[in-house]
Amino acid sequence: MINIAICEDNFKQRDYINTIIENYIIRENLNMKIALSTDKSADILEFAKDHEERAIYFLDIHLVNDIGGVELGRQVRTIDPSAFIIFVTTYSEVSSLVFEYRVAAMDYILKDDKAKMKTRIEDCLKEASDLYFNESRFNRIITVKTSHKILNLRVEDILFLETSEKAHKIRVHEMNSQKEFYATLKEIESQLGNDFYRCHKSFIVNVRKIKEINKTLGCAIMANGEQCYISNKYFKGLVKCLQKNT
Amino acid sequence: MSPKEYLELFLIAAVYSGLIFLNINLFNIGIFNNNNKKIIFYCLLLLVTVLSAFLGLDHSSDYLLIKQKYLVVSTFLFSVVYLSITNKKFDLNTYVLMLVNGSYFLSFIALKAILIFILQINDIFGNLMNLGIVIFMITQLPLSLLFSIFMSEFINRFYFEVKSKTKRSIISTMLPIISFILVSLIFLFIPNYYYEIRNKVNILLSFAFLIILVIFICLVTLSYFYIIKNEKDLESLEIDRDKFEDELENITNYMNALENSTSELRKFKHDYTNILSVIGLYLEEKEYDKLKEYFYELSDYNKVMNLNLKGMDRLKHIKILQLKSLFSYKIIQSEEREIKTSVEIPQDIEHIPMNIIDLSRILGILLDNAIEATVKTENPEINIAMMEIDDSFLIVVQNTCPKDTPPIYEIFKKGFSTKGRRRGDGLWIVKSIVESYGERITLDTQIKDGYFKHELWISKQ
Repeated sequence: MINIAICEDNFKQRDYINTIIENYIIRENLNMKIALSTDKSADILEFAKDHEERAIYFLDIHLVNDIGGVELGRQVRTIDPSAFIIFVTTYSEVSSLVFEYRVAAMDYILKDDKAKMKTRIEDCLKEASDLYFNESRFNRIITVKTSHKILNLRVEDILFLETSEKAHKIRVHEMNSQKEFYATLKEIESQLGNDFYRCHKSFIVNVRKIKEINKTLGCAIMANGEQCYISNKYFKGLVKCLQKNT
Repeated sequence: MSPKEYLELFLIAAVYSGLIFLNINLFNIGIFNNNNKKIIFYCLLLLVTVLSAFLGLDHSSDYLLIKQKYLVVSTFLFSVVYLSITNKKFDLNTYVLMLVNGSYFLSFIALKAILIFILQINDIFGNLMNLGIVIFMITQLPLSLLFSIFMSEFINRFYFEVKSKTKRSIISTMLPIISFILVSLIFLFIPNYYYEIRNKVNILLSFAFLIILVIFICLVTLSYFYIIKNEKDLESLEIDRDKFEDELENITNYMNALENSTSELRKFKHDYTNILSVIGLYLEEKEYDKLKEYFYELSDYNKVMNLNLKGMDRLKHIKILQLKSLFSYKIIQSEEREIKTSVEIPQDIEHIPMNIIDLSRILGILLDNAIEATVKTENPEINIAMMEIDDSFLIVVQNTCPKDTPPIYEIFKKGFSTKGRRRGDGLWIVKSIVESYGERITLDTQIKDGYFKHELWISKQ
């Protein structure tokens, strides 16, 4: 069961959002419920503190006489790093980069167009539900929280992980991105699951993303053509792992 | 020479080349990517060994050693020449072959030592010529295999655990040269005096020689690591020099930009006085229609003025002169090329916990790349943001990128460039600067929805 919390100070708007969500839950038979619907940010924070499990938050950006939705979202995010946060706003402040980064939100919903608003809310619920309940091997997400940022990594997207030469820094290679965070391979290895294989003292590879293995170069060629080193010690084990997976 | 002796020589050659084939297959390094080449190589090798087995015919009791001397050297030379011609380079493969040869030779010395010291048999070949050879060779076979397994394991560890590409290439090009020296040493020293007087002292000498060789290899290997380190130092020196050049360039550009805006301001002041006097004139003469017309003209003029002054205004929150100069210059550059450029810096930035020269170097490269890439798109756009989030600073550089943007790992490679020479190392330099700060700074890069985006996170701690 996923809890949903709503913070909106316009009574009419809140009611409208409530109805959309309730109808959608019944229609799609989703395992969710509206746990809180309020106009005070303090209630939301209290709720976040009391409920440890991942929840969905719909927050109005412009809360009159209050700390404001953005700040609220930020505080919720620190309490629950994996929270699904969706902002409801009247104008498109969303094009701003700064805004986007202050709170890593799942989506922004514009109030201007009621019909659009409905479908957007429904899409968000569907996606959150999928992410929450289908955390199978295919779209599992691991959350890495380091001193200065939170990264949500989709396990399925990872090609391989590599430690940097200095310090305990890990670089995640994905199809179209490279990200870095502070951890050791050992810490992360246990979270990754069966598709991953430690193929070198500083590399962990996603076996499903290997295109071919080049013995001469001592590396695996990944789906995007990138090379991941394999040390000889782990070579046979990797081949075995590959055969098991296909 | 009797047919029996020919048979004997052929036997030696066959066993020896057989050993080499076995050993080559033991190593996990692919020498040949194609089976035909492999067969040709084996045939030629067999020919060479047979020919060299007939060299240096000698009926002394230790002639087997002389044979092996020729075999080792001739097959080694052959392999080097053959592989150099076919592979067009002198690489790890030659080193592997040397090890194969070396292991064979090593097994010979070891076996001889066992015979003399442990079994006290000094003259096995003198008494039992034919049988002795057969027994000797049969024992030598597993022994040599053992040596080569040991050595292949060593190489594999040594070579494949090394991550850096430069180190790999240095090791793989230098080791064959060491091996060549080694084999020549074997050829020059061991057999000759060994042949003249055979006694325990000489065996000991041979062992001492082998130990010296091992020390020699270690020393040479160590010195290569030293070279690698030096190379890195040189590289960072070069980076430092470039840094200062860039810095100077940025400051000069900023000065120019400032000068421009000052003269722009002066011009504005001048125009302003003019405008006021014109308005005054129209008012005095009560020519309101003309005044109205003039006013609308002015608002056009205002637009132009605003555009020029806006660039500076957006950077008002940056309190670090170097950064301000860099950004203003790059923004001017970008807008000159008709790139839609946005800058968001919501709060004052007074101090960033990293070397400012390093930071401006990184940002200079990121912004240059962004400009370079986005002009090729239909709707060129660059968005820059700089903000504090919790305990860190975040700098985002985002630009629209062409569809044929190469994959991220490619553009981080040293020497990669879509442009001319020298500038190519850009992102590689960014990466190495980021790396030098360890865990305090991270760089995330992604391509998504037609945007190329770098996020530089700088931790305050």
